[in-house]
Amino acid sequence: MGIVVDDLQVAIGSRPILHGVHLEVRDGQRVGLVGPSGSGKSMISRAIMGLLPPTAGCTGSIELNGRQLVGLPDAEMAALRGAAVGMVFQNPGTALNPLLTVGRQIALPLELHYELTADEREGRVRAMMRKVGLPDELYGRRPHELSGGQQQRVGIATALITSPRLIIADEPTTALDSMTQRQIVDLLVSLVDEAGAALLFITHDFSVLARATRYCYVLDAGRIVERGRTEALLEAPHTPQARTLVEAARRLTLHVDGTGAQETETEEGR
Amino acid sequence: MIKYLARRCALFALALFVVSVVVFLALRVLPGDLATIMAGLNSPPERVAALRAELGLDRPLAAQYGDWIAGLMRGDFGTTMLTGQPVASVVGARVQITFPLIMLGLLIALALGVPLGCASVMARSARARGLYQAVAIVGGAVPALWAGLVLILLFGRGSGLLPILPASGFPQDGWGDPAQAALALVLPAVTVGVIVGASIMRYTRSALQSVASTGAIEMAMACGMTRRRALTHVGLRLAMPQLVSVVGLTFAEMITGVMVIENLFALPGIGSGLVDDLTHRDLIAVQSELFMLAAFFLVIGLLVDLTHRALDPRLGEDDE
Ligand SMILES: Nc1ncnc2c1ncn2[C@@H]1O[C@H](COP(=O)(O)OP(=O)(O)O)[C@@H](O)[C@H]1O
Ligand SMILES: [Mg+2]
Repeated sequence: MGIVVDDLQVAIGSRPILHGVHLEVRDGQRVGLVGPSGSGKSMISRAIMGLLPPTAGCTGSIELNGRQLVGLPDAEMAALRGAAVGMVFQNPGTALNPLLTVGRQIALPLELHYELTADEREGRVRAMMRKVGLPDELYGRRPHELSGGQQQRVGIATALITSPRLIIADEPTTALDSMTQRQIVDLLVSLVDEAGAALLFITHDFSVLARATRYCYVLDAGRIVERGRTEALLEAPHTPQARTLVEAARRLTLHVDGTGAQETETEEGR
Repeated sequence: MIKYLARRCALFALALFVVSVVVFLALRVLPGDLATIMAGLNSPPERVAALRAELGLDRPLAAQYGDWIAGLMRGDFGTTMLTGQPVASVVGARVQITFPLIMLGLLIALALGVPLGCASVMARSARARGLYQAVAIVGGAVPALWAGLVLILLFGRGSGLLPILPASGFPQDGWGDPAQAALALVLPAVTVGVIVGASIMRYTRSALQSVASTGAIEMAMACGMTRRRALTHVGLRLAMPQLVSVVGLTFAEMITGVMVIENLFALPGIGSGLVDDLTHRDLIAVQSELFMLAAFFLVIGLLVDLTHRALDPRLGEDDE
């Protein structure tokens, strides 16, 4: 069980974006998908979620717990989204509905998939807010009143509220400062493990990946060019594409450590 | 919010003042003597002088402006030269035609444009998207005159379904017979509605697309909404501020924009009335009418801004 993507081809209009991608995330596993910006990582997550733009064509196979998702009508995909699969987005500042309060936002998947009383829903939402470390008084606030880290905590709470078996996190920390990045990654990992869910963690940043996953795929220009244990890949990348990403991560880490003193401005400091 | 309201209203008053000065000066600074123009270029000098004295045009500019504004404050917009009626009642009669025409036209435009705009974003096949695109472009490119003529030929002359011909036009007694008057507005309103509807469709489309590109639609879908539901429930609501602006501006624009339609269908509305007054060189009436139009545009702008404020929680607290 889990998700198995095989020979996935996605084209937008006549322009091919993915050329036969294969990847698997088994139940309870945390798997990374790393690649430079523009390599097609988000396109893979969109294909799995049924969020490809209307102009996209998609062939190949995506099996979620043995069920074929490619070609599934939107209504059936919608029944899976937010229930069987949860998604955390790169930029919570723009993804969160600016009109919804934190409470309403986190409750949305519950509203869409379950028949609960308002009280039951609120109880679950407040419990989830505690889990992701959101103070109770933020329940009635709107996204623009939150820090970036708090916004992403709302995003994680929304993705996890229905206890889906698979979480896809598409660069969940890219929009955050490096200190908050670590907190958010650690939070995501601990919650996913606690729920026993599987995680597909997408990033362009190897240093974040090592914190979140043991196994990973390297994507370049719409093709998986390398796969293996994250640590091994970090130490000895085989392909030049993977080497470039690893070197970039090293530089970033050095840079961050060198200026560590300035790193005190975290979300808690705001 | 209170602070914002006060600031916005002060701005409104300031703009109103500037507009009044501009309108007032424009008619007096333009080349040519106002009294001479109004009396007609070949009138004897005595007639010009008499008119100048009668209208107070021989007094200092500041005094003239003061008189005019004092009149406006009392609700006295002057009298028309042609019939000697108060400008206010003449404009009032025209508003009774133009306003229902615009409201009806706008309703038709919204009823056509918003669903079509949504549908064009939701369309999954390339052919359907192309079709919607074509509808928007063709609809927007049709000249009002031509669309009106076609409708007149189709309904007025051809089948006689609606008793509306340019010759008959609006009933002489105005809204004395409401059914007759309303009927006279149907074809013109449909003409306006189709043309404006095409542009509402394009605006709806681009507003929805700009909202969709922020990721809020994807997020709503990721929570379990279908694409259609996310667009109609989340997308339209988020696009609402943009749409309100467009509708407000369109509404204001239509007041003068329907001039062609009013002329074509022989409706004595604001647009055709303004042209009438200009051709009759009734410049005092024109001055008050232009001021009323400008004031109306400013009111629409004020309403649009306040609605924005109410619709978007991100505005509101930030600037307190
Ligand atoms: N809506 C779209 N229409 C056309 N091309 C797109 C669209 N979204 C992404 N692309 C293209 O697809 C490629 C992969 O994009 P994406 O999956 O977002 O990359 P990544 O997430 O790895 O940075 C890029 O070359 C991008 O330009
Ligand atoms: Mg991406």
